[in-house]
Amino acid sequence: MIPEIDFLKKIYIFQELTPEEIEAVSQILTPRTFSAETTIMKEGEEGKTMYIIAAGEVLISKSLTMRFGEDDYRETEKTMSKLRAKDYAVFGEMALITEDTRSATVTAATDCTLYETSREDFLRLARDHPDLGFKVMYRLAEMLSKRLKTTGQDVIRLTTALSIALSQ
Amino acid sequence: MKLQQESDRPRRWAQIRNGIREVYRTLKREHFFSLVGLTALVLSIASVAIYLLEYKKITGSGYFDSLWWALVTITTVGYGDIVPKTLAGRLIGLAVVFSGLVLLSMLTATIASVFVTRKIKEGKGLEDIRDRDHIVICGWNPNGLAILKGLEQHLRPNLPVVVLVNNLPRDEVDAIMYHYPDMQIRFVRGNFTKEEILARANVKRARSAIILADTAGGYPPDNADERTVFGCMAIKTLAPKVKTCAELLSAENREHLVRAKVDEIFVRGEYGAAILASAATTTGLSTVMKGLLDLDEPNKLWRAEIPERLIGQTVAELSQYFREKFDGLLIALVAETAPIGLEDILSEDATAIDDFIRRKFQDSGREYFSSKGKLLVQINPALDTLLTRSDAAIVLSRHRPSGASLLEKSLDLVSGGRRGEDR
Repeated sequence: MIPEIDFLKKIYIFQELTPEEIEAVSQILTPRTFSAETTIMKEGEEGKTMYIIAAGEVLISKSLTMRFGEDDYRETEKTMSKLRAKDYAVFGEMALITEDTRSATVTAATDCTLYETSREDFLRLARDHPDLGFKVMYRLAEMLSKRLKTTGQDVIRLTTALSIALSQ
Repeated sequence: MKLQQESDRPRRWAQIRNGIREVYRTLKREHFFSLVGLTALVLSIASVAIYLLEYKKITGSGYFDSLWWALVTITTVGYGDIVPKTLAGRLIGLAVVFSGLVLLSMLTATIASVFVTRKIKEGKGLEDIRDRDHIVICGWNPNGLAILKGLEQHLRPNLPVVVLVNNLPRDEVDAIMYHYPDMQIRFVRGNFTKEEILARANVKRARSAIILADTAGGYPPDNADERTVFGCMAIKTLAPKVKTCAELLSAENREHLVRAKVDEIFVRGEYGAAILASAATTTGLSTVMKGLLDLDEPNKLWRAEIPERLIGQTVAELSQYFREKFDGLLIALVAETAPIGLEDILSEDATAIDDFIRRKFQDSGREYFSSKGKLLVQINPALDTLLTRSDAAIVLSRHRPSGASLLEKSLDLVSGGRRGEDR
């Protein structure tokens, strides 16, 4: 199954691309199916791939508190959110830029189809088509800087809450 | 002030309704309604009997005449316009007159007793206070009179109701009330460390509460502070939002009151030491200090609002304004910061972090966010300090500089939030 051009055009990081460029992008996307409840990626594991949700829903859970060492079995606080195909959502996009561990656990909430692409494939494509690479990278940078901003606000809220809690 | 006037009417209605309910309850307790029922029963039996036995046959007059006769007879009015003529009729008349004597005197006695009990309760300090926005003074000592004087001076012309809660003998309470005829002083007898006594003083609806070191009134003076602490805790439990000001005899007990979140704590003699020291070393200084606090001194400290046009200007301009307009001296700036609530920290769009913070604070089960702001005081502020909207001035002058006095304004600020909720 080859991803539809119309669908890909609606994905945030591809919105600037011309139809030809999207065609090129679609070449490096491989469809993968996951049945409900299977784990797609796990927080803390090595990750080299990004996913686009083509059909179905996934559940993203992220730890809010630290776990200390392997032996720490305390329940950590988690946030949960859902991503759906109709949101034109992507996840694991940080793996396209840095070689790092996953920052969240993603499980399939329903049976779902995802398009997968790896960092090597993406970087090769970007080198072959610098224009395309620039546009996608620009969008990625935009996304990350927005996220950085909300994270900064979260930090301020948390430090305020902390100082109130400690001042009592 | 305007708002307050508008709200007076529903409040007065509520008071009237409460009064009626109270009278109804007392009457019911005294079996008033059964007495009325019994009287009505006697009346109807007598009038029906006389109607059947006499008037219907002899005079041919109607049933209403019989009822009229029975009523006139039972109340021992006895017009004599209608008179029973047969023996049977007269016997009924006899029964009606005697039962009327008993029943009606009982009715009158019941009604009278309602008013008498209330009067007696009032005198003994046993009545329940129904006022709102009043000032409760718990405990008593010789400084109490000066406090009443201070309240009167600062709050005139809008004198609030003052409720004294203590165990003084009746004649001493009378003497206090006699001293301040202009003030509405009410009295609740009892131990202010007990919640039911505080509830009778309606402390929940009070504007503020002053807890004096209760050295008068028959309790051992040694544990006056102990009782102050218990009283403050009881008030804070009953009415957490009412402003509380407490007097301590020993500074050791301050931390207990801080823990009970008492708003203002004064230790007796705390400032006396400073005045004494200055009296011994610097001629005149102690007299000035005393004069500032003396209620009879014409120059007083007032709290004044900063005029709109001076906001954003410097303290230099403000002190010039008070100097020229009120012949007053700017002593300090006070600013009340708005209280911080949990919602102020969180963002509008509830994110995962917001949920987390909210949940954690709620789970802790502790009160982290007070409903009161903080008070920042700058004595002798630097001339180039810029004035903000939250600032107010403390001014030394002979007359109140425009608007509210020190005490009234600060009390208003504290009780403002609470009053808002009431409506």
